[in-house]
Amino acid sequence: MQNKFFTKKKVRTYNERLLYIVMLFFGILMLVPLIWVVLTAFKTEPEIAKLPITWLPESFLNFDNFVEMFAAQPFGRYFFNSMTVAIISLLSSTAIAILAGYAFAKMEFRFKEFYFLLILSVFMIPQEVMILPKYLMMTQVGWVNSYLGLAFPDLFTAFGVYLFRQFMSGVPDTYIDAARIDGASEIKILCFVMLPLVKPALASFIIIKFMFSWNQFLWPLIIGQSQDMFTVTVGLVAFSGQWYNQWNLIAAATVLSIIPMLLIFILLQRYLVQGLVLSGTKG
Amino acid sequence: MAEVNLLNVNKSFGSLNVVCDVNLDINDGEFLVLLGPSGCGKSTTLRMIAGLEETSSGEISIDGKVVNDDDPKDRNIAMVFQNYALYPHMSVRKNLAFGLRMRNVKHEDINVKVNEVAEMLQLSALLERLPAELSGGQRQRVAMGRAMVRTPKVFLFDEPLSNLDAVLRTELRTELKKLHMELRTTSIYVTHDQVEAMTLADRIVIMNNGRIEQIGTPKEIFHSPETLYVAKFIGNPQMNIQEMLVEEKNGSILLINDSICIPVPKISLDRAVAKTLKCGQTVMMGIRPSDIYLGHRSEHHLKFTAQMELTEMLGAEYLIDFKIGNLNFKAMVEDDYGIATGATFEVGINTEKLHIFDIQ
Repeated sequence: MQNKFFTKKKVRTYNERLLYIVMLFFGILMLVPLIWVVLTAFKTEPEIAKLPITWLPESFLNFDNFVEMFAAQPFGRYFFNSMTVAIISLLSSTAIAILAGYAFAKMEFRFKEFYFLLILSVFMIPQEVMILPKYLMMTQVGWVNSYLGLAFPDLFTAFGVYLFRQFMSGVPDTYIDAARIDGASEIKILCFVMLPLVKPALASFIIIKFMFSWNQFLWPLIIGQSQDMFTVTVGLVAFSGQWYNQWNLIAAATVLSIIPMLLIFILLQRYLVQGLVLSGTKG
Repeated sequence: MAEVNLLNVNKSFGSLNVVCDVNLDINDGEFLVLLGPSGCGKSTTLRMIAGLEETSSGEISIDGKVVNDDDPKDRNIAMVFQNYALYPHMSVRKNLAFGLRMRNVKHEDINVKVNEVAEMLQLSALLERLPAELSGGQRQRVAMGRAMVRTPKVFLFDEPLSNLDAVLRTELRTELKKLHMELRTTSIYVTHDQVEAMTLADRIVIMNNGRIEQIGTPKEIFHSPETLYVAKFIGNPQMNIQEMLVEEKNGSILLINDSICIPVPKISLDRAVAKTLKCGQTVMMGIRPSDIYLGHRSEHHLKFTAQMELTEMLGAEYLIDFKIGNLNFKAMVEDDYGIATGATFEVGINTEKLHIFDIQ
């Protein structure tokens, strides 16, 4: 019996190890492009063009690409624009998603399911289909080449409403009942009871939303018509010509553009792994 | 403290009536228990009193004021939930203080009140812990503390002990009783556990299918059930119920069937719930297992020859299953006198404790 038990355990350990090796392989595979871009940011143009390729730059203290990048294009401005647009859209869409998610999850009103389906249907329409009507709207309200225009498509997201609705539905109603009896208004229930309980959803949403806004390319390209309204993604295109790409500058700009997203992820990742812990109720 | 009155209260969900025409007057300082099986409408009634459910019709008043349109926070009530409903992200101190914070009570006053309640419930050492770090009993005590901290007019308890193990339940039940005797706050307690109801209640309301079957003190409910449902529901083991025919002989009423004939004494006739006892009428006769005796204790009662079916030792008592003719009975006796299964023996039925109901 004991031998059999140990054999089973050994097989399990062996399987686990194999699984880890496979996962590690794919993990590294996914990291390769990122590592390549970071290393390229420190290489000179001849180093990049060299064959056979060299992985490591001659010097990690070569910041010429970063200096040249800022000299060639107003990247400080692009960063400011991207950050402004991302923050506006993040604040707006988070507020709307939380409020709508709470209403759909915990309140009763007529045609609730129908409204929710309506919102979900927006979620299913490809962005590209809506670009033209949105652009026409922006020209009519005079928001072309403005921050509001840049942020407009992201002021509301159906995905956020769906995410918060799903998470909040999982929070037992007794917390809300208890808070109501304790004297909390709906907005206080949302702020003091509900939001702390859906922190993982909030963290996920902030990361996804910020990443989405930061990486937007097509809409800022269309709506930001002067250089002072370009975002980082649009600015990156400036280093790509018809015949020639300045890979060293593109890599340097890409590395810098990753930093805000990386910071947000580092800041919020503990809530992502934490999961929803609802230990105040029994069973 | 306050009186609570329910006048013709109804609650329907679509075409389903879950609470039907409930009329109830709960006295100031009283401990009233709503008792019934799952789905009988007791929790819905409690939630309507709390303001967590709207009434479909009828009037609910607390301390003389109709509160139908008031929000839960304006009813000055506190509620303890079955699953505790402690906010998991807040420490015990913050959980206790939450209600006061929401009512903009001064910080210093909150601290005083929280410490006072924590001491009363022996929670002082746990104030900085999260609910996840507490045992079931401790969590329930925090839930009670959260209700007590605001000194509300009415306490509402929604099966607060049902998630605890038997030992802890008994312990907390006693604590709850003592607390009520100390605070004398009007309390409405929902449970499906008749032992809890019997031990805690000043009065019990038995509910069935959204209606009130009987209101009375635990003694009244146990000794004088007004309906067959109450008779069957209260008491463990259940009351023995047999269908009998009413006969009259020499001026006395007899209950008979193929196996037994029981003359009904006046005291039982007076207590009979059946509206009329006419010759030839069929009624339901009830006798509690504790009113059937064996051995020397059976001497002063109406005796029958019975056949032993099964004996179960329950500790201090024995639960025996036996047959009189073809009728099955259960009795709760102090001693089984070593009567073997299948053996015949004499049992005494205390006919003064008979219950007679109409057939439903």
